[in-house]
Amino acid sequence: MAQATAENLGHGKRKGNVISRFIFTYVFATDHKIIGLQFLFSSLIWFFVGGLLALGVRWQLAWPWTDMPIVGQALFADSGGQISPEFYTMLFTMHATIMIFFVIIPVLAGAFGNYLIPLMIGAEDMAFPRLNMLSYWFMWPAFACIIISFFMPGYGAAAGWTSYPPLSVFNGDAQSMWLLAMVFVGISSMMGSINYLTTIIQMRAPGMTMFRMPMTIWGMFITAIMQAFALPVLTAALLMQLSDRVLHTGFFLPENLAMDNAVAASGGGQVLLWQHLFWFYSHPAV
Amino acid sequence: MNRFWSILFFCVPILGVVTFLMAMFGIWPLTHAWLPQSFSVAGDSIDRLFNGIHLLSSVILLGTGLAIGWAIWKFDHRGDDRKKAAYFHHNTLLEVIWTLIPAIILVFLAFFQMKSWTENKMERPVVEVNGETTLVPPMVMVKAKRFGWEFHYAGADGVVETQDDIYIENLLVLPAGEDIVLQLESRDVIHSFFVPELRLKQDIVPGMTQFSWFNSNQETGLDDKIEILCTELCGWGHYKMVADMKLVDRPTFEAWLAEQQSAYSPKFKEPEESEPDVAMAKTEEANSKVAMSEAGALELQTNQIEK
Ligand SMILES: [Cu+2]
Repeated sequence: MAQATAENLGHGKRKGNVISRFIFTYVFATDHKIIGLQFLFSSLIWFFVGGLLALGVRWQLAWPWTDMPIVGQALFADSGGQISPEFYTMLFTMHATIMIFFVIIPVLAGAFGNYLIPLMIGAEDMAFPRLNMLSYWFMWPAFACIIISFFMPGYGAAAGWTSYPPLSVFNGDAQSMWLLAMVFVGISSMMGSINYLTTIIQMRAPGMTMFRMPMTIWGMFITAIMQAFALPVLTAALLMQLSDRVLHTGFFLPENLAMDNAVAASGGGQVLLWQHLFWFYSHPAV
Repeated sequence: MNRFWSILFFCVPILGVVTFLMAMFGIWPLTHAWLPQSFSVAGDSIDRLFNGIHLLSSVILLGTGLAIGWAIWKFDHRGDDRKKAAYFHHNTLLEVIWTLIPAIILVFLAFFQMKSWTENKMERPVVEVNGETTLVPPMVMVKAKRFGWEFHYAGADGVVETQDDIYIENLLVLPAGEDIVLQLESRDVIHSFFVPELRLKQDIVPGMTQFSWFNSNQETGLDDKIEILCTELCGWGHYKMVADMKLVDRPTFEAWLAEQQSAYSPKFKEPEESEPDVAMAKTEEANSKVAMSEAGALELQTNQIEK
């Protein structure tokens, strides 16, 4: 299927030595199947991390206030080998974040979308192979931000995966990295969605009318519409919360807010605004 | 064994509905398995909604589950009659039916729940004073804070947020059989006021004032209690943000409140404008000390919130 236009699309047979061929085929890939697999395998790694965090949550629920065997003393030296309430809050926040933004979304849209859409509608590849590559590589800054966040004050975001202010605004610096990571995930998804929409609308094989499309493709089509039009709202909201934290704006902070003996640097905002903006995308998404 | 799947598909809806009916009628061992005993008029109406919606769902679950089971049984290719299943991929009538029925059910539910919602969330109870109808004034101002509950009872003047307020932490005693209105505010982050027995849940958003009301038709007495829980993640101590609620008759309530007045009033007057933060910081400090101490976790478990 792909041979005819392999040269035009910039994949398939490449010139140069083995290493550069390997890099451009499997690392900076523009082929939809390779990108699908890249999404799949990086998500599987995060699936493992998210699963480990869930084990921590389950351990605390099953045996509350008990020393964790083997790794407890090394991980929680301050609290005598036990999971502290702070750590528990971080555990379920990061478990949910990773599972939703690093596993479910990239697997469903990134992996299956990329792999299956061209195959199921009879297209040669996605409409924009380089945008496709970018959408995958924009996940990596997000991965980096989340990994770094585990080593920043707060040791990981701990305001729940919904990151409701004012709690999230008062949290440790890890929360800022969390917000930045979510911005990158959002940009990645938006680039992907443009690609899916264009491919599905423009590149169907002759005879594949919209109403003959498989249900799977319809599902991805609707998801892509949502990501293209509702996700920018969430991304803007994430940047607004980041600016509340870093630049001390007051989008989501009410007047005269005080917590932990500290007074907010700004006010006059609306706490509920975040929830409206957040759920504008997240409710249809979940 | 070759009928395994059809039998499984028969069993699932039947077991599901039997479990639900047992929970609904409180048959052992599923007594109060879903919701605790209702303590309020609103709770009774919400329970009726809850059970009604589940009854509807049971009918659908039984219908679809048994239909699938029957189809699997009938068209099992290892069966005696070896009938072949018919394949067809378009049936407009069927599609219209299974779109319309759920749509009708949803519209019905929208109207069915309206009265309960209006009573519990929109129409604050009114009271007749000197021939004039006014909203019931809040009896207690609830201030949620990390990680506890402040209750400011309206003092002799019957108005909250005045100098004669009576301030109590983590214990809310109220008279049963009356329309009670609470004024809910937060000192810091978002909290949520939840009393399962009253079927009452209200988010408390900083910067906003909410009113919640209920009319309890059961008493706990002073020796027993129900719990007020926080149901919005508010930080590391969210899990221990619990207060006791006691519902008593009017004379007991008044006697109790009078006692509080003499015991607590001078000490716990509503602080001046600048003080709340300091008071809060103290509890914060105390809390974090407990958390950081050597046997921190154990102490946290036993101490809970200091009264
Ligand atoms: Cu709370």
